[in-house]
Amino acid sequence: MGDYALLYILFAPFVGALALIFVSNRQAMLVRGIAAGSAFVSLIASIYLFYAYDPVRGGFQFVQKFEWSRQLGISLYLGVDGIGTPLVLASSILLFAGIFVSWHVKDRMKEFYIWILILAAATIGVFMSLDLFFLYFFYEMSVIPMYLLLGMWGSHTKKYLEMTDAEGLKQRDSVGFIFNFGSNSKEYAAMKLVLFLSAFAVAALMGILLIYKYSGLNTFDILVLREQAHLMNIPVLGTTLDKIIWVLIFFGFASIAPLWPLHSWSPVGHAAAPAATSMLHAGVLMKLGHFSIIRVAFEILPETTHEMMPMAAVLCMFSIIYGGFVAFYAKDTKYVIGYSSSSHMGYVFLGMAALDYISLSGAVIYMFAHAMATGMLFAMAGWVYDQTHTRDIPSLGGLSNKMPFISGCFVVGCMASIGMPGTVNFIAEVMIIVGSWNKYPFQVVVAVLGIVLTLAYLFKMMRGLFYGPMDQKYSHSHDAVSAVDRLPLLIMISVSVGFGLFPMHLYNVVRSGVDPLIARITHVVPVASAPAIDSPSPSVQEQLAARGVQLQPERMTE
Amino acid sequence: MFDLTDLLIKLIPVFPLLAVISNGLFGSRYSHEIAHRLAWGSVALSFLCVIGVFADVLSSRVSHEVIAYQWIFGGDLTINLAYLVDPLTCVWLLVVTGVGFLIHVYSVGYMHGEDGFTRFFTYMNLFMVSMLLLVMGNNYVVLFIGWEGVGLCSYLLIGYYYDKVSAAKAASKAFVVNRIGDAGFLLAIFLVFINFKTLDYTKVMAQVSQLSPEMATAIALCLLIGAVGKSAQLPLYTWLPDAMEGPTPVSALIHAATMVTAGVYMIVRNHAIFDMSPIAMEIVAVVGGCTALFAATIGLVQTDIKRVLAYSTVSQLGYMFLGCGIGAYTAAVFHVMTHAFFKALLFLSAGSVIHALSGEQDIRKMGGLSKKIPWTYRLFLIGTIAIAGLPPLAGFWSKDEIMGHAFVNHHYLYYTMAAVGAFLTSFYMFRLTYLTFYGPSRMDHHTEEHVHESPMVMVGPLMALGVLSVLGGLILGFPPDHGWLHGFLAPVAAVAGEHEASAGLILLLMGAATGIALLGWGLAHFLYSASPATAESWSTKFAGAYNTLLNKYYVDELYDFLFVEPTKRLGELLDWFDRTIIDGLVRGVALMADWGSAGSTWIEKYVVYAGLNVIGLGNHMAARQGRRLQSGMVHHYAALIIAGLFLLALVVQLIIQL
Repeated sequence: MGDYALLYILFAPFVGALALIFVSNRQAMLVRGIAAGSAFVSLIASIYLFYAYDPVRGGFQFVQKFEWSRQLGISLYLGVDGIGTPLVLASSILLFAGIFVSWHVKDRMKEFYIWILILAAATIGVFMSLDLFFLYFFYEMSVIPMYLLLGMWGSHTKKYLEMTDAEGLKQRDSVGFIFNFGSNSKEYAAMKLVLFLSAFAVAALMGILLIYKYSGLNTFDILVLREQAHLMNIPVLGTTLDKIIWVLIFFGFASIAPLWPLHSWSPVGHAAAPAATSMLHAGVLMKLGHFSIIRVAFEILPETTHEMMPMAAVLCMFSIIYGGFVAFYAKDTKYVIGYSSSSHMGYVFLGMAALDYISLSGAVIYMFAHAMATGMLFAMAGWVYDQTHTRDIPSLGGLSNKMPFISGCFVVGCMASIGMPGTVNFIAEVMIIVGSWNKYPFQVVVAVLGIVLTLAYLFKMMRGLFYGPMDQKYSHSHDAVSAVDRLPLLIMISVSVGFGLFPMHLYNVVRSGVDPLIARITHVVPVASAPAIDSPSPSVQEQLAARGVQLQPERMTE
Repeated sequence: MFDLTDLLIKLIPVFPLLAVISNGLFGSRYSHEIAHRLAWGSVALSFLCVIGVFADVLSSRVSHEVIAYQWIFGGDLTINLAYLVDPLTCVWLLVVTGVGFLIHVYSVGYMHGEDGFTRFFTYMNLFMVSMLLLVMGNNYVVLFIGWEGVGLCSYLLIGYYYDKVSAAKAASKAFVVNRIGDAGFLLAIFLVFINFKTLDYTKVMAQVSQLSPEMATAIALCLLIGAVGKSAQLPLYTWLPDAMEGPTPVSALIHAATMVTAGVYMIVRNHAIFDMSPIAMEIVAVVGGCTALFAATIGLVQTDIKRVLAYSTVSQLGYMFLGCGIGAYTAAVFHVMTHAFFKALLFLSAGSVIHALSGEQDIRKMGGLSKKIPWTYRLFLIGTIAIAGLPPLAGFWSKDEIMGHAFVNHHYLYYTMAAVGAFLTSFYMFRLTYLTFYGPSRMDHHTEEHVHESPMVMVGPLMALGVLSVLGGLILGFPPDHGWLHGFLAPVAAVAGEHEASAGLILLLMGAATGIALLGWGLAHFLYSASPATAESWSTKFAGAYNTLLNKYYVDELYDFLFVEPTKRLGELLDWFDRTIIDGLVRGVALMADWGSAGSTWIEKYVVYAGLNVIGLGNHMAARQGRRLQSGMVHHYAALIIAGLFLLALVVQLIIQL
């Protein structure tokens, strides 16, 4: 397949979704087979991609370009670098695992799988887009399926279930229904999530259009824009244009990450979502935020990034601590994991904010690692919910006896989440913290204490679910015994532990993507001496060469 | 170049690891027999390797550095799975694999017939692997990996009886409290990396003199936080007594002999950094001295046989920290070794008692067991004498050495703390012995009928530990300060500039220590054997003090009040903040959209539509009138057209004229 690897990865799920349209829901095995098969093709291709990606050469590889509109400068331009490659891999692993996690969906399974496949494919599309237009296109495309997945296959939270029918109907019929937090219904969650993310996506779109317009290059091509767009020092509204663009793009994309205080869609969204959707959403969709910020803001506006990122270093602290405390208080399994995810995304922002080789590499590896860890936890929370029909931690307990396999995996999931040595999370955490120390020692201390907090709430949940005496009403619940049920967990665990023990290739790949980027941001030009707009400046490449900065990462000597 | 010792070093952790993999993955497919043979057999093989390595280190006096696996390497960040075996590591390796082997064998008898037998041995072996990595690593990351690994295994094994709420709580508590320490340890690692750009001990220690005193203090204190968590010192000791919820062999192996001494190992390993910071050393000594005294007082009144031993462990670890704090590293390591022998002996004998009494742990319900389980009794007594510090048993030599160092180097306050602690230790240990083995039986009838001596597989390891508890001190540390251990550890733990004590002073101190221990024994004999009524009356006379001690100074309650509750409250507060303020903002925006849409609906309804309606109405009216025009007759139409044309012409004419 070679050069076409990206097309296989991207289009296999689309083709699967298309094929599913023509299958009847009564042929359950065929539906599952098509879904799993297309996910499998995508998975195999991305494993190939991951190992075929050459970290020594670096840069964008497996590039594919199809012109779409010459007048507007839009083309379907695909390619991956060291940052995109592991995220593509994570997406397809989680998609494949998610297909198996939702094996027992009873209601309209075909439609469910169609949306899951589209969701994952769109996510993958963002990770490989080199064209701003298509990056945004795939980004929006990944948000829309969430609406249907939550609204149709989701679940209400406890409060909602406790309402009497009359109360519920009254609330559901009221005009302000979607704005009522107390209702906790899945429809509310779906509406909120999509509206919130779309609203912020529009901000990002404005940023993208401003880049398009003011660069004057008549192209959405990121590689061209990053070399030739001169967006610095254009005065607008009392500030400069690049800052406005940067803020629009940063906060537009940070909403999905989610950076505090833009996280309010996330816990309720996770809680309402079916297991596979939560997995994909917390596992990879959240990373679209960080990835898009890196791909758009870091690549195209390196100087502004250098100037503005300290702000993220402040906000990330709130993310870490705030999310941790709320997770400690939460009583709903998915709320705990949801808030823990938004807390953990703070670590990624910290790694990004430090603008350091090691810390940004750590942030990228953290995204990969967190995808596996949180995927496991959501899959298991989903399993427990399927068995007990509740996510209320105080009413659960003692399930260890009934589900030894799940509880064993849960320990591993918790260990991965807290960055236990031996899981890839540990490496990521250490890299983020080591790399950020020089710039943000205070944040590092907060982050290290945040790890203690993570442990406290995860173990509280672990104890609440699996230890102690069991309520007799859960005596019918059973463990994951069949291969189909165990496979997704085993995949995620082995990936997490495997890369924890053998991280070299992952590390090299990520470094090959991060190193030139950080070199551009930190070594290029101090903002003060940035070239004026009308005087043509040499391209960044030449500037780098003039300063003796190598774009290629140093080759590791053994 | 092939080196047998290097190969042996690499093999040490491999055997238990293979046992973990086999028992963990396929343990359910074969019998318990095979599982336990794999478990203790693998540890025995490791022990043999350790002996080989030890013999080599002993004869050649060379420390070995072996890279087992290159984990992360590249430019600015290199982390290897590499081992460093020097005399210090050798000491720990011998203790961990030697005592570990005995406890594994004992467990075969103790855990016989339990649910999850294979699971137990899997975790135990995993613990061995982690502990070996901890002491063998040549850099901080491997140390940390082992550090976290033993914490995990401790968690899993404390929570072994997972349907017991107390066990589950104790397990979580142990892990969380340990993690607080680990946070400090992680920070220390980062500080080391930032300052030295490497994490290998040898490279760090070579450059350690370049550190500024402030930085040395910062690193040392962060390391100390980690050590305090793992070694259950003030203020993070509360998890260890609760950890007794685990099976007794776990308490012996993890919570007495090996894991909890990791903090001491870490301090001795980094003593070059500590030596640069007198403040940090002082703090280590204060923490150790206070813990030794504090835990001993709690131990006075506890009624659970394992909890008494747990507090005694905390207290003895305090002695080791005190030793480190005053620079007596060799003495501290010496105490680690003897403590491993006698505390493992005590725990395993206690386990044998519990086994005999079908699970009873409350010493108020024991008594008079010396006749019924004679071997357990004799061995427990040996352990008691050893820990109480009576010559010539093991505990005497090591404890005396620490106290002697404190005295000779003019730390009289620490000496007093240690001496009082030693008195209390002797008292509560003999109290425990009297209440358990002497006096009238207080067991209920049913339990009493089933009392039986433990099988050979349990008593055998006890005997081995008994021998070590008797002779260990003499072999390793005689004569004081110039024993074999001092010579062996000289390259790694010697500190220059110590005061040499005269022989007379040494003898005097030894006499004093013996006297203190005898005094404790005497008091215990008086209160719990000669005149039990006095003990009763004292506990009512000093009810306030007695209850404070019984409730462990209310420290758990205090921590709940200070940390756990505020965390919950803060969580609650932030949850409220999240729902009300942050989500309120979002909802506010949404509500504005709602109002906006309501407003535009109103406009649509009453302005736009109304306007249209007015037009429509006008139209309607006009149409009503106009209907008459549409009569359907052609000549009417023709007339209208002509009239219209006239009108049009008139308008055009008007426009042109303007």
